[in-house]
Amino acid sequence: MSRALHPPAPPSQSPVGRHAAAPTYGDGLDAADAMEAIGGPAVPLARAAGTILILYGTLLGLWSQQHNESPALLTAIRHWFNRPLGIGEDFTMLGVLLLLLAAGYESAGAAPAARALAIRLARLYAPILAATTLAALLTHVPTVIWTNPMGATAGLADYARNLGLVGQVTASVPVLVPLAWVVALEIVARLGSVLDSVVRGDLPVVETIGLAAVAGVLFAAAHGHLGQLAVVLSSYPLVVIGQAIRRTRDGTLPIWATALLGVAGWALLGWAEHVCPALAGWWYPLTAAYAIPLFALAVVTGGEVAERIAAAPITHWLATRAQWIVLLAGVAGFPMLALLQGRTSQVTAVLPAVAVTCLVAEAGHRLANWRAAPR
Amino acid sequence: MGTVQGSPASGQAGSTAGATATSRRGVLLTLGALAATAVGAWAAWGDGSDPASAALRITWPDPDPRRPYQQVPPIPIVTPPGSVLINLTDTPSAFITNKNYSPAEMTMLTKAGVAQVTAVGAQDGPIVLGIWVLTVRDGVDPMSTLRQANNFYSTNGYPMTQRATLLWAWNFLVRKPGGTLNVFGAHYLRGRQLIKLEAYGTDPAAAQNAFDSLYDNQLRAWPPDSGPS
Repeated sequence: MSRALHPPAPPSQSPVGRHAAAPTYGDGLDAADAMEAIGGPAVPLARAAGTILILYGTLLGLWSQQHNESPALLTAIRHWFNRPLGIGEDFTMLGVLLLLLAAGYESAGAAPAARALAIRLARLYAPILAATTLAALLTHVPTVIWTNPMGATAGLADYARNLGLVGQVTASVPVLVPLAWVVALEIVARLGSVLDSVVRGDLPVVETIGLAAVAGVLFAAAHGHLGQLAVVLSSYPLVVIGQAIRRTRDGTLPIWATALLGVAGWALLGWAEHVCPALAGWWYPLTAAYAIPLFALAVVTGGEVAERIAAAPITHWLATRAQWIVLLAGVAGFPMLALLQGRTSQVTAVLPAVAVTCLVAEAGHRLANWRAAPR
Repeated sequence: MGTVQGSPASGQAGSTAGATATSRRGVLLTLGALAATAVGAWAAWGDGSDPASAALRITWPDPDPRRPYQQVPPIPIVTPPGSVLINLTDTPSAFITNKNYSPAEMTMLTKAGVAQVTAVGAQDGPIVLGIWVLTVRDGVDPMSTLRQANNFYSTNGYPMTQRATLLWAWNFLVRKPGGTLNVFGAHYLRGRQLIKLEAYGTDPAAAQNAFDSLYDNQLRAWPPDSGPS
């Protein structure tokens, strides 16, 4: 594959084939092994960066807006970066899209055995389970957590529906963990890898099915059905693009096919903006236009400096706990902010809020990996 | 690839001191040139804050700062019936230059704080209809603008009837060689905008009808404030 996104692997590196059942990131490998397994620093970098952006966007950005605060730092960053770049929600969506690209990239790499896949899916679902449970409990305590709508109280039925991610795809159930869909899409991507191992070949079957499914749901939404599902699935093209980038890098997909999938996926994102009123005016296609080249660039040019950053303990830690941190920010971080509200400035309060989020995330991660001896 | 190795540049560490000094001089020269360009530009053009336009600045509220752009509120105008003669947003002085507005009135409004004017005018058969939205600049109380406008209209002999706290209607005749124009109008305050609507024609009943329907549509879509804020 002479036109692969990545130059041929040097002899020291064993190229990871798409169908070699390689371990993936976060399976208890150390940073260097994990990076070798997934082929370069792009995934840890995207995951770590995405996590930081989402922490910033929710704990500083979203909280401020919900509580009518405007810290000077936030206002300045909005004035100098968000508005000129056209990236909304204080980079939350940019972070989400980077996570989705990384998830797609990773999911295209390995076709694990049934048992390994089951464990992997369980580990992905664990943060949803934990964050939802914690959120459901906290709705009965006088504190503030990020729910949609804010201030929702969860009965047993709401809790069960949230565990089944029903709240994410219908408008009638209060959503206890608003970002749970990000991890849910990653689970979908992993399930797609099963199909991928069945239809071995050099055609982008799974990727095409993914985009076709999104197109179908968007079409239904355009005719008044499945509107909420369309909102969630409209970001799935980023997963597909991540998959295609991986396959091109591994030499199982020509670059023109990746380019086609990329353009089609991006077009779907643009179409979704017209179909779903909830997406209008947020300029997600523009945010994607930053996220996709950024990620592709990290894959193509991931050199020594990028690897050094990706191998740094903090990056490795953030990347392996990304799903936990992202889902817990609104559940563990918000109560801390509520506790400190009025006692200190919000920018100062964000630090303990991040600390609490990370502590709970670490605890959850260890619990979910207790037999894998996480590092 | 998985292991992090030493910098590839480390093999060239023994470069000569002379070459280093030359490159350092080059860096300093470049930085100096860049700094000189920046200082020169600042001296020539200022810092870009444009104090001349500060007097005309209108800051719109930012309803959702998390959006990727600032949502500017829609212009509170219903489109009058008929063929559009003018649809223009500009500074007050432009309306004087283009002879689209009475210079005396516009001068008064500018002094009273109006910094931006949007006008939509249309000709519906023999009737001419128009709506003007006069936006008050930052730092000026729109109530004071309204008071000065009311003063101006009373000194100019508009027979004004107050229809709501911040809404006045008036009608008068303008005698012209071609016939007498029946002018019906109203003005009111909505937020930081003074809105003025008008309809005129030679037939008094037709002019009044046209005005009444324009008035009803405009006030239904963009009602006046209920009182001083």
